[in-house]
Amino acid sequence: MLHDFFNWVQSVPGATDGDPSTSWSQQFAGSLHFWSLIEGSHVVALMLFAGTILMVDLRMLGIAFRSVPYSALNDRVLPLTIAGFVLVVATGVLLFLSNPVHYYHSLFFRAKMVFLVVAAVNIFWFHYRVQKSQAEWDAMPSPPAKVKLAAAVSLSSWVLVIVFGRLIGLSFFECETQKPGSFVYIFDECAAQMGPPQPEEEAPPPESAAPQAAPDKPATGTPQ
Amino acid sequence: MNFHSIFPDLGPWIKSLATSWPGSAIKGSDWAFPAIQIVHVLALSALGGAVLLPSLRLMNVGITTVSPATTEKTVRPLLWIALALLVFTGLLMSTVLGQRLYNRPAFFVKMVALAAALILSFGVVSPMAKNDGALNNTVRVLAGVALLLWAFAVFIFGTTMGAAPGLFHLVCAGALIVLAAGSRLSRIVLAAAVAVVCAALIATFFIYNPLDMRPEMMDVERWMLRLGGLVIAGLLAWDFLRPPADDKPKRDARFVGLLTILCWITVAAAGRWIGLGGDGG
Repeated sequence: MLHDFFNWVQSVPGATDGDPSTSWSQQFAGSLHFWSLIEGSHVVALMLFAGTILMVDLRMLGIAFRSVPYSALNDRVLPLTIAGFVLVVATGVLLFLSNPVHYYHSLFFRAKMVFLVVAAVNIFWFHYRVQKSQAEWDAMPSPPAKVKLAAAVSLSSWVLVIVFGRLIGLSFFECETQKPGSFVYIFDECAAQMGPPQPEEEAPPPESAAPQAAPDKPATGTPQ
Repeated sequence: MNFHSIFPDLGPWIKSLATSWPGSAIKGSDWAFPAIQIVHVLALSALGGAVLLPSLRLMNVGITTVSPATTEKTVRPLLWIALALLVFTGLLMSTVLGQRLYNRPAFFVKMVALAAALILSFGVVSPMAKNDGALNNTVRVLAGVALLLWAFAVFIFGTTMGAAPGLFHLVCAGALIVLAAGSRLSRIVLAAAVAVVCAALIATFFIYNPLDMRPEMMDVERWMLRLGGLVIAGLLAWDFLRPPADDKPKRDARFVGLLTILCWITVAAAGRWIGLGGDGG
């Protein structure tokens, strides 16, 4: 269902005379500098977002700013982190819209989203459970284990989000190269992208030698 | 301007890097280069925190409840670790990308800005933080050298074909600093300037078709970026270089903090535009 929606996003809005290559999504993907500027901004904004998260996580782990109460650091750093988050998410959503079908079926993109959810759940757990006792550990140089656990989960999930984010650009594990029934094929919902499997006995027609999208679907655009 | 135009005789040696170890080994593996790049990006993120907090502290923004000296001392090990990782992974990547780095103006910009950023972080911010924001004569000279180097890097960044659009990141960073630490008047002017730029961009799309009028679009883009940069530079100068309302050391510290952040943003933005931009001249 989402495949069909992203296919529509990629090929219909902005398209003139039904030509999917003129849609906003594909014009953005093939733009002179716009895509590059958004991608560059995504990476530069990471310095603000991940850099400030790292500082707070190191405090929670009892490694840095041990003499500074957690609240004194977090209250001042959090607005910077939120500003970074807004920039990273806004640019990230735009980048996704430049080639939504490709990203939707990308193993690394899905792995990135999984760890984004892990990071989000950790934030809620920390906010609604761990922070209830903040007054007890706020000034401790080395906070209790539950605080350190929240910091460790935060740090590792954001690191993995960045790692998988970089890997999205690689062409490994793309649907075209996966066998139907394999883990990646199922996890990436490749069946929706590849269309119904061709009967093996029949000789393929010459133009279908390269993997294609379903015949009634427009091309999925050029991977970045 | 690029390293090819300065050291034209290095070409054959640069070319040989990709065929000798470790460049050949990295090139021969599917995963080695992305893995090195991942460490480079992670270290860059860590560097962001290690640079931002002490610089913002000098600007009296961020963790103002902690002294500049404590802030700088706490993040210094992280700065060293991040830099060591960045240099190590950067050198490994350069064995594969040598030819590209040699020809691209963005890499030249990155190296000049890096020299300025290192002078600022270790030669200026560190002693200033220890002296509670005060500036002695040696540090003042170092800050002047860094300012000149950075201004040169920005000039090359904004005037060479293969790198110029990357200046956008620096202009945006300057705008965000005005938003976060500027005066009320500056923020109003900034909002008006952003509105004008957005309106001009939308109007441009009605005049030029971006799909087949690229030269015209490039001209519009280039001049809007330059004008936008000038407006932001003016606002930053107004906010950070005005005759001090209270005391001069505070003004010096604010300016050094600002310069350090902009310098590291230039390093990062130029670094990204090595891959995104062309060879240019």
